[in-house]
Amino acid sequence: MALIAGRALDRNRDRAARLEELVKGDLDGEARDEAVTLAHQVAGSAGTFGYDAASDDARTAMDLLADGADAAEVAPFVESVRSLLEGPPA
Amino acid sequence: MTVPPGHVLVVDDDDSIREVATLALELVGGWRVSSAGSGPEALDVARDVRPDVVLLDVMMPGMDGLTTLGRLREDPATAAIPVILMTAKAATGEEPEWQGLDIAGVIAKPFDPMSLTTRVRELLDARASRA
Repeated sequence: MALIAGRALDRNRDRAARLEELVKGDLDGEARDEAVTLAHQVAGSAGTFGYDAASDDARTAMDLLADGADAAEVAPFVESVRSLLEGPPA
Repeated sequence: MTVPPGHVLVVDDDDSIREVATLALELVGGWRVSSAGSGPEALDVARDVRPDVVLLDVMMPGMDGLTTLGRLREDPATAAIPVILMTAKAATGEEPEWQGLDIAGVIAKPFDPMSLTTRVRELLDARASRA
């Protein structure tokens, strides 16, 4: 279980890093779609492995992205996800 | 009525979700578990192993979960297999968008691995009592 959780954490960190890159860019159609998918994946996975707060913020980012919010509105939640995934499960 | 352990097909494009769900269902629930990482693979595996229930992720690249559900229902070999959707788009599983689908229920992601077996049983029991 710890091995699976470790792999999941690595994957979610990679997803959050990519999400942060996307949110710093234009968020045009394709980029926004990719960002929604990444936020969705983190929302679904992080909480399953104990990172509930990161999951909640990823879900907020996903909803904002899907609703067409601009990058400035989404960025704080993405930064929070990245930060939370660097710490212990919470 | 309690549905006995049987054979579950877990479908998710995220390896770690498939792995943790498999571990939980096998160790906690005593279920036999097959898995698939995509919609097309799920259709093949479902046809081969005829599981007692499919846990199906909604948002997958390529063929998504709802399309996969439709294909399962079109195939006489898999049409009657109960399907439980798993999605981070649901908070409770009771949202209107899931109503009217031919499913046994919805499990919201994230999920507690230790409670997954119980939740699957609850949904299958509820489905059996509706039948």
